[in-house]
Amino acid sequence: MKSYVARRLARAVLLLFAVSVLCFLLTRLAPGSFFDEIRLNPQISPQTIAALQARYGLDEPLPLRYGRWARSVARGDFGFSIAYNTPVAQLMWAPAKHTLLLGGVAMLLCWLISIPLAVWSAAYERSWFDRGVSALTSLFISIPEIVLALALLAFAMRSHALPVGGMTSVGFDELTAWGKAVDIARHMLAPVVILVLVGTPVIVRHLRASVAEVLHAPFVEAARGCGIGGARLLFRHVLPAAANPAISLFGLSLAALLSGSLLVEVVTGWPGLGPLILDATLARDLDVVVAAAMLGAAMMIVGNFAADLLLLAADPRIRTGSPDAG
Amino acid sequence: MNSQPSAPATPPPLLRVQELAKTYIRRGSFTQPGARVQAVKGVSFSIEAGSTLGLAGSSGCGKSTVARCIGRIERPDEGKILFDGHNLAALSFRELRPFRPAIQMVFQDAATAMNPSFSAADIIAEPLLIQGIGTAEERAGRVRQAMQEAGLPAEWSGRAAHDFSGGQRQRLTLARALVLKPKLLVLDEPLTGLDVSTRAQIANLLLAVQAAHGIAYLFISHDLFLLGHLADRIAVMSEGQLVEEGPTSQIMARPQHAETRKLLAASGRQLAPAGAGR
Ligand SMILES: Nc1ncnc2c1ncn2[C@@H]1O[C@H](COP(=O)(O)OP(=O)(O)O)[C@@H](O)[C@H]1O
Ligand SMILES: [Mg+2]
Repeated sequence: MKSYVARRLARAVLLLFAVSVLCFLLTRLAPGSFFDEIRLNPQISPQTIAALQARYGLDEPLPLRYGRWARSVARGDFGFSIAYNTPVAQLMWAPAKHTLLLGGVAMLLCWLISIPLAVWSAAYERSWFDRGVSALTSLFISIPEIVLALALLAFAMRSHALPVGGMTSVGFDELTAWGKAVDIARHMLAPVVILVLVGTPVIVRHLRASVAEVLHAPFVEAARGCGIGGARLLFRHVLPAAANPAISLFGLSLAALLSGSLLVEVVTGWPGLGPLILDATLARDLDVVVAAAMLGAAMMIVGNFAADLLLLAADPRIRTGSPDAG
Repeated sequence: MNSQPSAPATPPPLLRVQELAKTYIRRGSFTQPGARVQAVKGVSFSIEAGSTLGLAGSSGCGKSTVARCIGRIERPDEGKILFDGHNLAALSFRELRPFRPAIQMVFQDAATAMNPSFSAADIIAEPLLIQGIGTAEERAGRVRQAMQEAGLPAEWSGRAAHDFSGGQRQRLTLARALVLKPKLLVLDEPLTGLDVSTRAQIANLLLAVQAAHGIAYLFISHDLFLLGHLADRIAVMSEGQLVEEGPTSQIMARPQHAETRKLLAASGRQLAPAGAGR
C-alpha cells in the first residue's frame, strides 16, 4: 500500500512537470505579449518597452525563463502576474476559494439529487417516473451550458428574484454571520442552479445505466430466486456492485471541481477563477494562465487518486500492483 | 406418504407444469419499434420426486424461460406451476418465500450467478439468512456441510468467488442451492462452458447428490446425448413449445419429432467427431 502511494505520487509529480513544461512552452510560443497594447501607444518609446520586457525577463531564452518560473513555483509564488504586479499564488488564492465553494456546493447537490433519481428510475425501469427522468435528462444534456446560463440569467434579471453578479451585496460587512451566509447563498443560487442543471443529467444517466445493468445481472436474479427482494436486494447486492462506475464518475467530478464552473462564473459574474483566467488569457498575463492549467491538472490527479482509493476500499478485487487489476 | 387410502397407487408428481406461457416485450430502439416475443407457450410436463427430467432444445427455444418461471424469477403470463399442491404461478414475491427453499436453481454461467464481492461463505449463507434459518453458528455449520457436499474444501469458505476456477464456481453455486435442502433443483445448462473432464466430474457429482438426497432435477441442456446419461425422462422444446416427451430410452432410440432428431444428430457429432462409430 505504501509503495503504491509512493508510486502514484512519483507519477503525479512527473505528470505535473510534463504539464508545466508543455503549458509553459505553448503559452510562450503563442502569438502576442503582455506589452502589445502599450506598443500601439505612440507616446511610449520602443526603448521603454524593451526595458519593461527586460525587467520581467521576457527577452531571455525560454529555458532560462522556465528555470526562473520553476524556482518561483518552489518558493510557492507560482510565477508573477505582470498585470497585477504580484505573485500568482497571492492573486489566485481568493478566487480559487470562491471557485471551490461554488463547485463543491454544486457537486454535492448534483450527487444528492442524482443518486436517488438514478436508483429509483433503474428500480422502476420503464415506469412513468423512469420515462420522465429519461426525457428530462436528454433535454438538458442537449441544451448547451451557455444557453442554459443565459436563460437563467434573463429570468433572474427580469424577476428580480435573485441577485446577479458578484458574491456579496453592498453592505455585506455589516451583516451578521448568518446574514453573510444567506447573502452568499443568494448570490450563489444562479450559478449553482446552472451547474446542477448541467451536471445532474450526465450523472443520472451513468448511474441509472450501471444500476439497471446490475439489476439484470444473473447473480441478482439468483438472489431473487432465493427470495431476496426489496431494500435488502438493493442495498446489499445491487448498489455495492453498481458502485464502481459511480466511484470513477465521482473522481471525474472531483477532477472538474476547479475547471467545470469557469464558463458559468464568467457569465454570472462569480468572482472565481473563471473571470481571472479569461482576463489573464486575453491580456497575455501568462504565468496566471499556466498556474490555472497546473491547478486543473493537479485537481485531475487528486480526483483520480481519490477515486482509486475509494475503489480499493469498495472492492477488494482491485489489488494494487497486480497485473490484472481493473 | 399419502394418507388417503382411496388415492391411486402412484403419488402425485412433485411438480406439475400446466399450459405455461410467457411473453417478453423486447424494448424498441430509435429505429426499431418494441416487439413482443412469445418465449414459451402451452408447455406442460411433470416431474416425479427424486427423478430427473431432461429439457432439451436448441438455443433460444425458451428453455431458460421455463426454468426462470419455475424458479419464479419470472412470473408466467399464463398456466399453472403446481408444487406440493400449491400454484406457485399465482403467488406474489412475498407469498413465495416459504416455497423458495424447496426449489433452487443452478445457472449456466456460475461466474455471473454469484455476487462478485461476496466470499464463498457469504454466498452460501445468504439464502439461509433471508429464510431466517439457524443461528450464526448453525449457518456456518451448514455452509461447511454444503461445501463438502459440493466437493469443495471447507477451508475455502473465506475466498472470494472469483478466486475459484470455472468448475469450482459451479460447485459453489451448487452448494448455495443445496444449503436450503431443496426438493427440486432446476439446472439451466450447468455444464455448458466447462471443459470435458470438469463436465464429467460435475455430472457425476450431480448424480451422487441426487442419490444421497433424492432431489428431483429439471436438467436443461441442448445436448441430448448428455441428457441420455442423466435423465429418466426427456422433454424436447422447439420455438417455445414442447414437441416431444417420453422416457429417455424411447426418446434416444425412437425420436419422433424432427427437432429431436436434429438435436440427436448434433450432439452425436459433438461427441464423436470425424464420423467415428457411425
Ligand atoms: N428478458 C428478455 N427480454 C426479451 N426477450 C427475451 C428475454 N429473455 C429471453 N428472451 C427471448 O425469449 C426467447 C427464449 O429465450 P430463452 O428462454 O433464454 O431460450 P433458451 O434458454 O432456450 O436459449 C428468445 O427468443 C429470447 O431472445
Ligand atoms: Mg438458456
